[in-house]
Amino acid sequence: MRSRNFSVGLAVILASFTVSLFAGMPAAAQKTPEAQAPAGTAMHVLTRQNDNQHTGQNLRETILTPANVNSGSFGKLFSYPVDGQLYAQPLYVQNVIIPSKGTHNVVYVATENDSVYAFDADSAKANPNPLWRASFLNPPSVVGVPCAIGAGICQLFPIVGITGTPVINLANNTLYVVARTMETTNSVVSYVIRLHALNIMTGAEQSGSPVVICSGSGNGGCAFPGQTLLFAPQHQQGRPGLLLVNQPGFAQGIVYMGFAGNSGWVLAYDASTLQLVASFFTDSGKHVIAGLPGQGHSGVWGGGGAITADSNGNIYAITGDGYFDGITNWGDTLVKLVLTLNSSTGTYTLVPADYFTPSDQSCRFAQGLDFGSSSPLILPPQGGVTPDLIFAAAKSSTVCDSVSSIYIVNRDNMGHVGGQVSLSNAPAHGSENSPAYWASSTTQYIYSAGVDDSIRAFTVSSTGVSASSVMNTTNTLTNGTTPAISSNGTSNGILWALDRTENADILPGTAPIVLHAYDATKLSSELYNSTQASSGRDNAGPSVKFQVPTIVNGKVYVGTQNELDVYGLCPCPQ
Amino acid sequence: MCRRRLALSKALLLGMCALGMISLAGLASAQTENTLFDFTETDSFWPQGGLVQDAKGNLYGATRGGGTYGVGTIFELSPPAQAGGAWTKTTIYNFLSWGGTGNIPSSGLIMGRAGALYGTTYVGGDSRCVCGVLYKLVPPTQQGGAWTQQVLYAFTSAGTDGRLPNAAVVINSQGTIYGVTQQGGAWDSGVIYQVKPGTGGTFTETVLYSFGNNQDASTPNGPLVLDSTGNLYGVTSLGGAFNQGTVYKFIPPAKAGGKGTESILFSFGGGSLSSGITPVGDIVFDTAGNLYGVTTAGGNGVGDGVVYQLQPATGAWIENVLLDFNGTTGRNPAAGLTFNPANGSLYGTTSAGNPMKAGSGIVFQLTPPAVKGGAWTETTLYDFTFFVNGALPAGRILIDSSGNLDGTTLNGGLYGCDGYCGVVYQVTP
Repeated sequence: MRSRNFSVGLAVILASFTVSLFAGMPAAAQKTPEAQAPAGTAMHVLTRQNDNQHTGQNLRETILTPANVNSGSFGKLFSYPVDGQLYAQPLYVQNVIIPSKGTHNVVYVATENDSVYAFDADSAKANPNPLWRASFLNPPSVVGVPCAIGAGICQLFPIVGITGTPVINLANNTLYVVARTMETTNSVVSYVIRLHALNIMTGAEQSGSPVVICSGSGNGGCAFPGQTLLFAPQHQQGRPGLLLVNQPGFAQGIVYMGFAGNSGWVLAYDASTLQLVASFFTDSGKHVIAGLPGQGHSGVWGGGGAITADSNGNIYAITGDGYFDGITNWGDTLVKLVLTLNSSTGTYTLVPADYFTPSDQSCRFAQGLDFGSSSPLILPPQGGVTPDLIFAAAKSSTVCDSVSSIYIVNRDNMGHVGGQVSLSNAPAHGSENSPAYWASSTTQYIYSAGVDDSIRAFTVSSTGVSASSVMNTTNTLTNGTTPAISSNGTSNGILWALDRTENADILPGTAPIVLHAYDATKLSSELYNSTQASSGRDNAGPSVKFQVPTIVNGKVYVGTQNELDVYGLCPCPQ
Repeated sequence: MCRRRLALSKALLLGMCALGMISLAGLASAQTENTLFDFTETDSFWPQGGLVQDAKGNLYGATRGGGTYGVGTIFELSPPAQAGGAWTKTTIYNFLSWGGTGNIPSSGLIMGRAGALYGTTYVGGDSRCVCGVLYKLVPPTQQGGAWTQQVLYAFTSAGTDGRLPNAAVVINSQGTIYGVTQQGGAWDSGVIYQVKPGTGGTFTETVLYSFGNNQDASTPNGPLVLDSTGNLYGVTSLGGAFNQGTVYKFIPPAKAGGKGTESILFSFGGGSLSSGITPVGDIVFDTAGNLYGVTTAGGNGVGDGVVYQLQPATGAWIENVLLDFNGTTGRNPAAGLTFNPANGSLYGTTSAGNPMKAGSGIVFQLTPPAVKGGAWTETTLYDFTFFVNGALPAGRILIDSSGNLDGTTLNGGLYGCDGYCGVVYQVTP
């Protein structure tokens, strides 16, 4: 593959950050987005859940502490309206030079209405309008895709445009984002999925961008090289956050993306050329069994975080319910994908190098009980017999298991069917959100929130993951949550969580999303929630599903149905 | 692929459906239910709010999903030419997913004198705020022509303007429209607004009141009701003395530019939750001036909500809990009440029902006591069965010209949406 660098006009600050952040790290990991930066450097959030392992932690938060996060000194500061729902997590880059507008800390959000916004992250008063906005629509010929078209069920509502969190590559000033549109030409309607590469300073498309991933309608679509199944864009929704992974031979790395529809897909694009490098599908579509209520198609969605990567660049994709044979059908499976070069052809393939499938897979398939309803969390190396672990929460039901479980998998030897390292207790309904990880000075915690349950903390060490939770919040969350952690290294840990209080299936819902903050070492101690202040002072916009808060530089960014809400320390009227 | 949570036990529910139909025979035999229309995901779905009826017997309502652009429709449902025939649904307006016309109709409709329909959308409108509009849908001048949509006001959230209108509006005899928004205003806790017609087809919006200051009512959660002297009444889901919601009264300003007066008639949640918490939906007056409404939670039982009566008094009005939902019949009402002056009864729905029927909701009647001070009598007129004939009735009941109870369910029905598209139902008492 040929590489092409985008314009390199990035601020010196950003360039120096990139160098200092990754100096001394293995080549394969040098440009992988990470939230954690060494002391004294800039702070960014460039990818969903802050890093490719989806730990959800920001270890360099020095402003927000358990002592000052309370309704007396912390609250809603301002908000920015947006043109559609914010399912994607807000991203953040410090000290971005915006042409003619100066240098700003910038928060980036993407809407289901196919827009990307860059906002001043610090003040809506100083900059009430977006620093820039890119829209991929041109109505009436190019409009958003109604949820009922192709997707079957409006689990996202009403428009399904940009769902997956974009990813930012500071090395080439680029934000990568996947957008869906419905386009009419001469009365012919097509559904188009594109990969856009936007300059983070201007919002302009980078050279060669966008590229059409696929255009088609109905069951028609695109035959990717080497594949026997069509990628049908009318049916495909890209829910997982994009992943930027360094790969030898690719100057700017590989952008990975996942889809769910008539099959799950993982696609790999060259971040320089925006050309497809390799693809992998999870369901051959040949195993529909009449009468079963489930029968998903092994969608790659994982509550918005289905794809993760380890520090060696191996990809772990988790799938929803579907048929499984371990050959071309990967229903309810955590599959390890390795981008492999065929030296004779010069082409790449995504090779399923290893996998884990729960032993109740056939029941999951029959009942529509997704294993891959949550992001697989890749834990830091632990030592011991099985140092490299993955924590995978899933949906649960007593129909398939008498006891609900979270699966702990050895990523060095994933165990195939039923070969988990251990099980941890899960709430009755399992989880449809992703876990998070943080280590205090004494204990490593994994935080996971099930449906209709508390947020629970498990511990992990060289002996593995605790079988039961060691602490939990006193309140429960109707739909669970994907927690995020802010801390100053191993101290001042705060667990942040967003609560959609309405039934997940009543869409779009009208109740404000509720922001909670807890002491990360004592979950029973709630520091703050956005309903505490009187007069609705801290009310956020109406809630979406899958939203993850972004905490950086003393502020908390919360996406909702119609606005980006920003919280922080304030002179807060009571 | 992810499935809706309820769908996880679809097979179980289907089994329960059969049981449900058997148990229906145990209901009072005088009531029958007829599904007038099943929505589909390929057309439009998720009817939001209740129905209105024109002089010809046509029913009108809004769906918040589907349509040409996926962001909602207004539909007309015409009665069959002969009894027993099928009702005919026509989409009379497709909301656009772009531009300033608003989308996702969030409220029930009201019908003006000339047959025009008025409603609100939850989003769309102003290009910066995208936070909802008040619209009017004008009928065609010739039969078979197209209805015309007009945005009367697009909320901006600028200054003290409101945003996210979430309830039907009311119109007084001068043509002034009153409504509420869920958020916006001076304290971002919602507003009461008016929209007045001007010359040349123009309309002017004025924020009359901002909720949320201190222990004020906060976050309107249902439509306004007008009394005979022009005062407005409504409910909020938050605020009040215990921050569990209120019933409030608003006296509009006597002169343009003047200041109206808001007062809290009742604060929910005091002492215990027995008064109910989180009032929702339409409130109604009886002929004696008492107010009636529902809360979606609270009560002495298991927190499934109550039907309450508020008697006028100096200062706070006096609450009487008429019905405390306890889970054995209905649970968690999500729409308000309808009052039938002919028999003094209240009619309402709950969003959930008997757990053995997957909690699909009921239509109930509350009959006043024969003797003053006696207990009101609740009768379950219909118990919805998921995947058969609707679930989650979320709009106010319409007593139609034939005396039937017409309404919509947000979910359920036979077709598409994984059982979630919704229906228009009719219960004959």
